[in-house]
Amino acid sequence: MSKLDTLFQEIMSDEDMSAEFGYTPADYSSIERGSKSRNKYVKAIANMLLQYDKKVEEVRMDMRIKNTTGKVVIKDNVLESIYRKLVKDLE
Amino acid sequence: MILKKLTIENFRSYYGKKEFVFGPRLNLILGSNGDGKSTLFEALNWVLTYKETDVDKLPSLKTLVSAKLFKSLPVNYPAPVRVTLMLTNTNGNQRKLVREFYVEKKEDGTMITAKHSHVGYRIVGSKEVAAISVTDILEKEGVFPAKVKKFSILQGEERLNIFEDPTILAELINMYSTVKDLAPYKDLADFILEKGSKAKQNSQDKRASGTTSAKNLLAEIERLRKDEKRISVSLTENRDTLRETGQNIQSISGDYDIIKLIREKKDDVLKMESLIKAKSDELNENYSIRLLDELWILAGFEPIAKEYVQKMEAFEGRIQEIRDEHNRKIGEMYAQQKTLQEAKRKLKESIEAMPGFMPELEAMKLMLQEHRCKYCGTEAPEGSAAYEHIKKMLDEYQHKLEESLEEIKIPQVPSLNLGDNVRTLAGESRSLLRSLEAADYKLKIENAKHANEEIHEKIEKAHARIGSLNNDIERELANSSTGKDLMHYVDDWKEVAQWHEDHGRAESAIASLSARLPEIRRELREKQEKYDKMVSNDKNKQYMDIYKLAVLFERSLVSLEDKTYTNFLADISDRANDYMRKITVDDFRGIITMEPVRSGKSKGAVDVLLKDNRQAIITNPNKSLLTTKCISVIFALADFNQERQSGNGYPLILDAPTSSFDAGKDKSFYKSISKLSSQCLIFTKSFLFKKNDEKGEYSIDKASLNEIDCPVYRIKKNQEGFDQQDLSTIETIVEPIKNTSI
Amino acid sequence: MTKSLYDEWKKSKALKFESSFYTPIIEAFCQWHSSTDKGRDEKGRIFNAGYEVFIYAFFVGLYRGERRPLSGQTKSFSMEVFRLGDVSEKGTDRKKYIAIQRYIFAALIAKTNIDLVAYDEEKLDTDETVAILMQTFSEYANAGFYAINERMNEQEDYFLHSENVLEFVCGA
Repeated sequence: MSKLDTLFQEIMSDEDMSAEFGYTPADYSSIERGSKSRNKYVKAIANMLLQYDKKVEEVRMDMRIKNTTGKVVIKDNVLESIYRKLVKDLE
Repeated sequence: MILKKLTIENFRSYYGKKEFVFGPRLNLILGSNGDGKSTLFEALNWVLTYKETDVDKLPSLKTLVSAKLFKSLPVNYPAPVRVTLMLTNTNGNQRKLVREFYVEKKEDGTMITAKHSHVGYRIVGSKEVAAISVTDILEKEGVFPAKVKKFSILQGEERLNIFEDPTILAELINMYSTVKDLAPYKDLADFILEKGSKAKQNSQDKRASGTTSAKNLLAEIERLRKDEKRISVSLTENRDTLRETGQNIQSISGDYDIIKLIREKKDDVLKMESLIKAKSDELNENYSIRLLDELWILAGFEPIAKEYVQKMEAFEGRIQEIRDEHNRKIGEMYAQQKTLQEAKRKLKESIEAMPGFMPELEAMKLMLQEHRCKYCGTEAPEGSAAYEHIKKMLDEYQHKLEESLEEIKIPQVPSLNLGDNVRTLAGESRSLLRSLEAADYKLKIENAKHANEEIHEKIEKAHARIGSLNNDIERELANSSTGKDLMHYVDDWKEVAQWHEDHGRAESAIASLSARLPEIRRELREKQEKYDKMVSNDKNKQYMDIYKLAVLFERSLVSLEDKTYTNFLADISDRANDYMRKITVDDFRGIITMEPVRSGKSKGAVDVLLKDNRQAIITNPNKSLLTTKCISVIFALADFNQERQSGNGYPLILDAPTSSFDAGKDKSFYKSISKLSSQCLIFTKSFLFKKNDEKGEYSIDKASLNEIDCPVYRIKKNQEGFDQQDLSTIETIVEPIKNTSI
Repeated sequence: MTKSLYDEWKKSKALKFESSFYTPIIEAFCQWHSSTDKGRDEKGRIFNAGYEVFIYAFFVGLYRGERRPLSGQTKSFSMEVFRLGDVSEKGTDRKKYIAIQRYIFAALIAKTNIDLVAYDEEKLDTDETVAILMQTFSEYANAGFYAINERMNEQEDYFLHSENVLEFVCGA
């Protein structure tokens, strides 16, 4: 189980969330399964995280190469596009 | 990674080639100041660093050249300066890192360096099988990534408190935690929440723009939001204040009583000083002036005054005699005058008593008047012979009387013309003597001198008292854990009082704000829900969804982050407490707890606290306890890291971590550490002591070292040929003491 | 009537001393800063005016019972006896001590053979009598100067110590 899986699982296991969007946390142990879910909320979150994680790792690798330390900063336009995807997914 | 062997050639004070063989656990390198410990430390750092950062600048090459080497170098003959490190990586494979450059002396005596290289090798058996880039070894093979330096290579006791750096925790979480570093995801959540709530708001507002009750509700919601923000900000500020003041108070609170004591003593010192000033002002030892102004010069004058009085009385006596004589003469004169008058009277009487035959004067006069003799009755008219006869006798008699009266004369006594000097001066002389006796100048002088002596004594006593008070203050300062810096707080007591005040205020503010915040949030939620129901329709249902998702997403991230941090830190502190137990053995220790700072200026940092078994923060940990705490944490991390790496982890390279420990403590410390499974290189002065040696050389405490099972090296300055003024005579000798395989 | 001898004496200006003593003693004493052993910084000079040194010397000679005729070059203070001790009290911490004139006069009378009775009887000339008194004054002072000088030769800084100045005259 990757770190991303763990993150996804931890988020989905939030009680308020599962109550609000109507799903069972135990069903979603990996993000893969999440991205294939029929629950549009679960799917949206899984895809969002997958997409975002890619971007974060890109920036991290970049920083490693340049040997910079500090916060990982994601550009606004990236965030913007993720948001738009989310909106679309929830239509 | 396990370090195996370090070879150091011509690097600063290490002239020629010196070797160190390391064991898998504790390794001790003993040396006192100036012997070459720090240089060794730098050599390790140099060979293990493949990229300089701003914080960690490597020294320039020229400064690394051994002066002794350079001096002995023939012209145009390059010699190497080299550090070689043999190690095994996490997979157990042997690697070699070599960093070197060549130094050459030109004809004019100047130094040039060239061919600086940093290479890695794969080693099989004892052969260099292939070259690998240093970066690959250190980073890719995970031998010693740059970011690990922050908690592995630590120079000096001050650097041991690694968690003061706010970025460490995030890095550690990122490296070790099973969950990824959540910061970027929180950024995402914030972004979505902001966008989502704006969108929702816009759609709702469009719908609600007509309805009054909706508008009112919206206004209330706005108000509540503002309140919420205000309270949050205030909470953060107060938490910051609490933290800062808490730290300040903790740093000296153990010394609170000492501060009070010192303040009292300082007050006493001030009192003594003003006493000295007052008494000094009272002193009047200007005796020469007082001789005149206060007539002290008359102290010996009495005999002379007496002489004077005597003389004056003698004069007085004589004057008196003169006066007496004069008076006597006057008396005589008066007596004589009296006699004369008596005689005159008697004469007058006798003249008036006529002899028998002469008719009395009066009868004669009568007879003349009556022209008749009284006795015979004859008439004696004027012109008659009888009348003329009587008249003649009368005239003669009267004439004789006048004559005899005139003859008697009494001599006058001349008036006395005498000056007043004797009289005046004699009187004054007596009063002079009396005032002299009354004044008693001798006594006055004695009293004045005595009074001055007393003042001198008082002043001396006050000085002595000041001296002893100052000694007391010095002693108290030495006993305190803050030391000399404590005086600043003694003088500026208001500062300390201000901390307490601010701390208290922050505490109560936090309490009330913390209570209020959830209330406001609850109210906000309720009103928001009400509003949302009021204005919901299909379109904005979608926005609602997004909004809800964003809110829940953020919330779960926050609680996850909390959990992760908490779990991670709990894990580390558990291990750290294990180490504390092992290291401090019988000594007092506290319980390490690690709490992240969640907001405010130091967000991201970690408070590493020592608490006692009642959960109270230990307010006056002495320096060595603090150091032990920090070292325990560092070991815990190294341990943790080793587990996660499922291999060897990273060695700890510590330079002089225990300088504040005293002799007994550091022995037990090293003994405990030698039993730990992490590899550790420690450079230290411990176990060296000075005998009463003329040369002042340090000797090794072999007895204590025998109790510790680890390799020990001694490095020291070569005294032979060593000249303080000449850098080129510096040479460090490396002496294996025990357990080394050299 | 005879004049008050005291008043006439006070008008006299004949405070004579041997010139050789001027610089080393009279001037010096008015410039040296006397010291006290410990305590505060003493800015005072030994004496403030030259005539005060003269008075001091007079008492030194007087108490030792020594008088010494003046020899060699002489000078005198151009000031009347009635000014002795008439110090300015404004702005200083000095006090007037003109009472000392009476005592000096008393000493002079005691130590000379002037017959005051004869004086009161106008048998003596005022000017001559005053002259005798002043001569006595100066001769005691002169003996005092010699004694002071001798002591300074033995110990240069003797009179720099306030206590010594006191002791030398009062033997206290």
